[in-house]
Amino acid sequence: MAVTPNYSWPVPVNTDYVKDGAEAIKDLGDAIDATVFGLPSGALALVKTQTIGTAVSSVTVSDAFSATYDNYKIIVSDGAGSIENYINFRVGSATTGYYNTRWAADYSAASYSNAPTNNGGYWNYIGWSSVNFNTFTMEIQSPFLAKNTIFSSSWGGNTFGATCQGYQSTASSWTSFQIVKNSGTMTGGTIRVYGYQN
Amino acid sequence: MATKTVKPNIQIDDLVREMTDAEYADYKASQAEAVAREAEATARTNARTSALAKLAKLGLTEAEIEAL
Repeated sequence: MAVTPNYSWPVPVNTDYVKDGAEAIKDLGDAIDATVFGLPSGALALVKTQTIGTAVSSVTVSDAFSATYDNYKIIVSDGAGSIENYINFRVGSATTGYYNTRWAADYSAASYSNAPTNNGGYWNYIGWSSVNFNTFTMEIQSPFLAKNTIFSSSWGGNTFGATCQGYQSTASSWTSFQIVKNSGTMTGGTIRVYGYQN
Repeated sequence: MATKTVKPNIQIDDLVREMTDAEYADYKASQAEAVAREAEATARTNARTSALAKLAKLGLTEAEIEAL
């Protein structure tokens, strides 16, 4: 009996009996299985993909958050909107207690503005939906834990870009989230949810 | 003759349907909230622009204004 050079998996040698071949294959398979099972998985795992439908003003994504991960990344890309407007965000069933900033800066002029949300019904302005694309990236912490949920997001629109930060004041556990176009609708595009390995 | 309000569609996972009356009321309220906050932000930006223009008229340079 010999072993492979990297993982030391057992392999037969040329002089071993053919009648022992089945057992040799079983031993090799068991060794490979044990090695692969113990390999570390990636730090960022795709949890869920949701395609945005046709002419919808909002999309609810169920079963996005669980005990498997504390922190998540959400990316919305592609598709298009009926008009240019913001995307707002809500976790679970919480309809109040949303606090966030939205710092926006123009591409064409040195101007910027903060549009804050102070105990609102959504995290406002966290993404953008244009006639050419829907977009935002968000880092969201502790949505499934019975703690405050905290987020930061950023996006580049047609004429200006923005960054947002905020939190949800209800210390509850959420499994779902909803994106809502502030006015108009979205068609197509993809919502991807990734979990950060704890 | 009364006409039925056409409400926007919402999507829950792969199901797309028209909003209920309650969902539509919530949607309209959120729109109004966002518009109000955006208007406040625009007003603040306009006030800042106006203030900067007045400071410039008083003779402050751009560097002096930025240092404020």
